[in-house]
Amino acid sequence: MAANDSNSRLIAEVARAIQKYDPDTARAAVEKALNAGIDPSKILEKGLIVGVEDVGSKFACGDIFLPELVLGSKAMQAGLEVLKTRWKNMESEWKALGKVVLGTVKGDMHNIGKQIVASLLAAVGFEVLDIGEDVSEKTFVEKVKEIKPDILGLSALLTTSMPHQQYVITALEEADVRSKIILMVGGAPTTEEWAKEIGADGWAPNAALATDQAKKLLKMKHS
Amino acid sequence: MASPILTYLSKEELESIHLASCRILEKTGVRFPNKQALNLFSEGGAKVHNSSSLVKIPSKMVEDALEKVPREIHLYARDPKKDIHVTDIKRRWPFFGVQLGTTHVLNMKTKKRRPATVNDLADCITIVDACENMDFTEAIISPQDVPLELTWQHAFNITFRNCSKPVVWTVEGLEITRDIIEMAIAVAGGENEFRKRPLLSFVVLTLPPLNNDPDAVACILEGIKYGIQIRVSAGTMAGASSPVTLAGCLAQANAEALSWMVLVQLANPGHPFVFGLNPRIMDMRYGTVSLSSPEWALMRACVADIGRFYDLPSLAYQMVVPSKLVDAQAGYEKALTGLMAALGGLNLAGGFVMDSQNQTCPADIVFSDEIIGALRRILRGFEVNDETLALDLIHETGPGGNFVGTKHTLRHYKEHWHPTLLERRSWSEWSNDGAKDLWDRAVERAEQILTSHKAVPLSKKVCQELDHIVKTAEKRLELR
Repeated sequence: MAANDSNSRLIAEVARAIQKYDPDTARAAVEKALNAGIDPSKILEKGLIVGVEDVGSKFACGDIFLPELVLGSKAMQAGLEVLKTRWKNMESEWKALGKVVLGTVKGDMHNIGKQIVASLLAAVGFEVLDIGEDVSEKTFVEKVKEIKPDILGLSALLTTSMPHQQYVITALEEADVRSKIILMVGGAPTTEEWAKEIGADGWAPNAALATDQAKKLLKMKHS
Repeated sequence: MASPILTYLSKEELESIHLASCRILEKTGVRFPNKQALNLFSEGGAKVHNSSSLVKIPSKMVEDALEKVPREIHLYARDPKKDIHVTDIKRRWPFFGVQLGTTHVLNMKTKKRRPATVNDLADCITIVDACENMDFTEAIISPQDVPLELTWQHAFNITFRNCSKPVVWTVEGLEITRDIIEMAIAVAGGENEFRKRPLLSFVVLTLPPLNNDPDAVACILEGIKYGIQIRVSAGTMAGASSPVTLAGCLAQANAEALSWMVLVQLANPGHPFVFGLNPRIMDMRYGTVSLSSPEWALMRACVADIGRFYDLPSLAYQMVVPSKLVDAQAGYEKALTGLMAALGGLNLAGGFVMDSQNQTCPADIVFSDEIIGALRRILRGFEVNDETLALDLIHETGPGGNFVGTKHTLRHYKEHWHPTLLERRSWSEWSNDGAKDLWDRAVERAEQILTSHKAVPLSKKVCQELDHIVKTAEKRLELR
């Protein structure tokens, strides 16, 4: 009984560290829980994920805003890093929700929105690889072939770099890999109409909705 | 002359910001991903890391550059009567102009939003040309009914034709920029004429934090070759691309702008340069930029303070509103931000678009023009002297008297500002006249301008040259 109580407390501390948006405390709490011999999958499910879901729902109803959401995500990722290094069977026991590659298209150097999206996706359990800015169509195709992501996200913040989102889609089709991935586009000048026009699978007006859409689209693909 | 003076930052605070910016430039540095720029910085004495394009600038270089910037503003128009020449940059008298690139318009008949076309751009530019208080223009619309890669060539063809005031281009794309320079040269009547009177100013947007678009750097270096005035606009977003605290947001933006001042003066000592900051905050609920917030408004005055601290010509944007309609929110946002910019005393003030830079409307531009009229009246001030104290007149008219029909009133009453759009009549007069609200009146005025006003026309020869430049750009695109 006592051991369970104390285990519950340690797991609760992990969740609380996320809810307090504190990466350092999250790391320490996960270490403590692991050292107490608690099952890593429990630490993940009942600690980290409970914490980040709580943060997510507070954001959704407007109780907290982006700084809390992003820091909460960072706390989650910090805890997850500790789990990854210490949990030998992590590879087989826990699979990331999916693999996402993000990049800003050719001619465009903007990255803040993309970084926020990356943060939030990682927080909900995606494995995210940000391949940077000013990325050519050729590089996008190469990376898709190499990494084999579930989702490719294209960011553009200029009306003049937006066409490259279309060129990337064409390049992926020509390389015969378009159908293998879910393709999302985003960025301030993009619209739902634009996304439909170029044949993207998804679009969202902000980072939080992008994360929801990514989860939805992945679920639909697997069902 | 009684006139308003708004100071937001104290001398000590300005010095702190300046020192902070110098520290940023020396310790953290700014990236300029362009070989020519890096060479200029290196030769000028900066520490340059070629692989990362990082430039660390010692404050001596900032001081040297400060000495070289001309303390004047010259905006040349294709109609010389519309030139703007400012030799006293300390005078609190901003010059106003519309900014670049909305993608949608609000339809004046339906009040519905739709993608903006070349015809919409022609209409809006015609309005700018007709507006008394608009001093310069940019291609306010990014027309959606032309090939995306030829957007700006088409847009500037239309802009030069429909407005004879000074023209601005916020640079992107070296090829596009070269086309626009070529157009401006054609309008000027040849390269020699253009160099004497450059009909174009460039704006470069920095990429906060402390970074720059390589293409933009190349465009500016190209513009400098032709004597084109360079304006920088450092648009830090508090909490996203700069510290969330306003002092840090300003200091970082200032560092970015100063780094551009240094580069421009290295490239061409004494080159016309305008110091511009566009610090804004990020709305932390939606992750969007928050324009026309009180923070944005107050920082307009701070930009003017910093400009005066350096004795530099200053620029900021104002009257850029999140409002989707020409409604009470739009009115409040325009007045709040316009007033801060005007009282702050910027030299140049751009902006005048809706829906956070995504939308415009002829009626909206007309409304902005009206507001500037009122702001200019506030800035103009009034004289306190024997004539204006009018003691003799007060004594003559005496207790219970009437001043309306006096010669003194006749002499001076026109010094008061008279609106053309705002409603001031009695309720019944207004009601009998259709009970129109501001939107109705603004639409009427815009439509009246569009039926009656035409810009000073360009010659057929110049029009053909402009079309030819667009066609050449089209062919270039087809060949790709």
